[in-house]
Amino acid sequence: MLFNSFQFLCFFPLVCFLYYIIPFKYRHLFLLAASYYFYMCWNPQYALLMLTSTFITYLSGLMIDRAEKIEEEIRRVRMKKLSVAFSFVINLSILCIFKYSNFLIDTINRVFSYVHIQPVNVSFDIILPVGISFYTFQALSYTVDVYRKDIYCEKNFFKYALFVSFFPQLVAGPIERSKNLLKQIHVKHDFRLERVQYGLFQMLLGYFQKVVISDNISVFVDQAYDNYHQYGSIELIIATIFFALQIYCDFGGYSNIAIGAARVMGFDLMENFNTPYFADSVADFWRRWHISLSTWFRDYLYIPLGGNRKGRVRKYINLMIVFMCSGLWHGASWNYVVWGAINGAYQVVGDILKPVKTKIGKVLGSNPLSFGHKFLQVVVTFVLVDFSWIFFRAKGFAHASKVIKRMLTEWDPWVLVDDSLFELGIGAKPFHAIMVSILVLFAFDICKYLKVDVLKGMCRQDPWFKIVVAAFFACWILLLGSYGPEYSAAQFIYFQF
Amino acid sequence: MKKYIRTGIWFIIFLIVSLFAYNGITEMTRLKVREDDAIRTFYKQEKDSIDVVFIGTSHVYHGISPMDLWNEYGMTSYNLGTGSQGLALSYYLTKEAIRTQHPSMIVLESWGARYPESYQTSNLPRTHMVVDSLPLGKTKIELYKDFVNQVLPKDERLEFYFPIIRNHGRWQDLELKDFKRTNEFAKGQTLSTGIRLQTEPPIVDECTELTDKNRHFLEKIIQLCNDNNTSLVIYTIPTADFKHYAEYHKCANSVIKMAEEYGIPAIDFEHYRSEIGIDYSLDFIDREHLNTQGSTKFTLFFGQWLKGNFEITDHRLEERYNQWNTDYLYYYNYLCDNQGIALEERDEDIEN
Repeated sequence: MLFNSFQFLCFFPLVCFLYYIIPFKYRHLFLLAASYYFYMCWNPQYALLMLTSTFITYLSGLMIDRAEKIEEEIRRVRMKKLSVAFSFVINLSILCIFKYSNFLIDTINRVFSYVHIQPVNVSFDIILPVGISFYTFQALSYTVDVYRKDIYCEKNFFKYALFVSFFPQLVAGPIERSKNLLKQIHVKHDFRLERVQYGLFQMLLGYFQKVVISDNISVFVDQAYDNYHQYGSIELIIATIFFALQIYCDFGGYSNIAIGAARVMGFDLMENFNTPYFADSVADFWRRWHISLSTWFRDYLYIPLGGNRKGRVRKYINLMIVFMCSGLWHGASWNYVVWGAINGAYQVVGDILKPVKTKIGKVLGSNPLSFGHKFLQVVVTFVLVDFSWIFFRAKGFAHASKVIKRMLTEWDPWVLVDDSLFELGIGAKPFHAIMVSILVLFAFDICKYLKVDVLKGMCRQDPWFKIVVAAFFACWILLLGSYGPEYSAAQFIYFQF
Repeated sequence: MKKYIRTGIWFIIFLIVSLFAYNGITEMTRLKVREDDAIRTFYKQEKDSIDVVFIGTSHVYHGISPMDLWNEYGMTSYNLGTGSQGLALSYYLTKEAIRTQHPSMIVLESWGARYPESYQTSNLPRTHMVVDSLPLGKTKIELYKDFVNQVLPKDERLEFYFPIIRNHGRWQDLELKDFKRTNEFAKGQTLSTGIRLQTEPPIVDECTELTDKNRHFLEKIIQLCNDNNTSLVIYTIPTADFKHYAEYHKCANSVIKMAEEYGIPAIDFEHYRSEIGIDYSLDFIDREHLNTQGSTKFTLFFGQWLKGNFEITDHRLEERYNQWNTDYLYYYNYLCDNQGIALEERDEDIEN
């Protein structure tokens, strides 16, 4: 079930209503059933996979808890480590089989073809289980948290299963930590109007990002990238900027819907996107972009690898490993790895050049606190990040190279004035409407950047004002959103006869 | 407690505002085609003011002129013809006509039998135009149950319940006519004044077997009229020679034959071409449909036949129907202002 489906629009209010009228001691069971129903609407069989992951990590928690009672230290530590390994090996194996098996075979075959060995003729006809990367990481974080004693061992299987499968963040995050979400499952959430309103406004914002901006501009991006040989620099540059917005509004919008939906039911999920394109360095970008994933990698991979405690070279190696893994997490393809590597390299190079940058700034008399300096940093960061998105969006490394080549060589500034831009799948009127929508989001993000909580401010308004604003944005989404059969005036032409 | 009541009141206000907003944008983006205008204008007619309702395909909305019937015979009629109207939709429109106007007569055209499935599943936009235009009520719910939920595949159902899903992209093509209805005076007729040269088709007397679905809906229409003491007349309207003419005329003949079996007055006007005075060089807008000139000729002939065979009240001197005289003036002026212009012949064969 997708958030932007009619099914969800019926499912969510019903679940919320029942959730608040059910006695507290049964609520977790109800939410668990609702979450599994939510997941099984997509593919009932794959719910078994999630159940397996849940069971393994639950068991690992119990094993670690039991190991804690062993008095002999060496045995205790060994048992604990074995329990963590048990959880990681099984969970990551499931993830590898379902997400990376074809990618691995393809990679092996490529290597074989270089050394003239007969390729492996096996291919798995597997559908990628929705949300597998999200819930696997979430479940694994529990194992490590129990191991580190950051969280108690959860004895109630159903409550733990709800932590793994909690439907608002099940398929697209945020990847929650047991420290945050598991504890909240034990707390009784009463109906609080302010929270519900805040959650609903946040969901509305999410739908606005996803259905109005992301899904609409994706048409332009797809057209430009799929037919890049027909377009010049300007179209491809605009398409790349649009892709940055598309992916932000897609992930960010989905996260807002998830966080808002959870908030309606009284749960606080972690923030996942914090005005990422206002970041003033690539490192800052990664503190603002997909925060739940970045912090996961920081806590459960970067720090265990030694972080920055083992010297500069080791720090850089660790950074590259983390970012390449992050790339691989996003998709089973080498272009994601390249995308991750570019982002890692940005940070390594940025760190190496930091003294040089400071020195040049001093020589040129630049004021690091001035708006102009900050603005330049934001623009440069955006350009760097957007460049890396090319590898994320392209169908492969070769495709990305060709797009970049055309972007740099086929200069065609006249398309900005001759209406050619309106021939990339979005007509003039929708194009302008999307631009207005992007400006609205931009204004919202500026407020957020300046630490002004627009949604909170909205909740404090008079009821009539809230109703009018909500109705206005709902109509905006309904009219301009991308849903239903594709619209073309031509399909209605024969009506006139 | 006070707080909960206040919240409850605001929630209800929120629901009402949302409903109004949704209704507003649904209405705004709805495709304003003639079917839609005709059906919605039908509901605006004064209660029980219509004596005769014409039901059928595009042949009807091109070929029947309620205003000429009024001017010549004082007959109050309405044209509920819609494009590609299969017999299933004819049944639901008949039901609505009887429910809202209690007419003394339903006049059903036979060309609709050419659609073997009764419902136009192969031409959903046409079906949309009718279903979306009907107000929510018993008939529409029946249509949802029998057609949308049973005949249509799952992924196409939702847009019948929420037309905004299909139409929302129209915001970019909105124009004046999306906010203002036109030609309401014509009582459902489409005023096509253009002229295209046509040829006379041969008379076809053979019948073909009606499909079970068509037979089923025809029986339902007959039953419905019987139950409501409404006379039913079935007829075939003259057309020019179009592709599949012979095949489709056989279907129309089968409807006439079935009507006769049930003792329903039925007539095929293809046999009265010369009596009507149809001129194939002047009376058609395309290969199938009469233009306004042809429709006036045919309507007057048909009106005389109806007058001769049934008791239909002449309302011309009744004060209640003064508006009809004004409407006729609009109609007359429209025809004077839009004299028939010879149009170029088109290759396409419009299959309505």
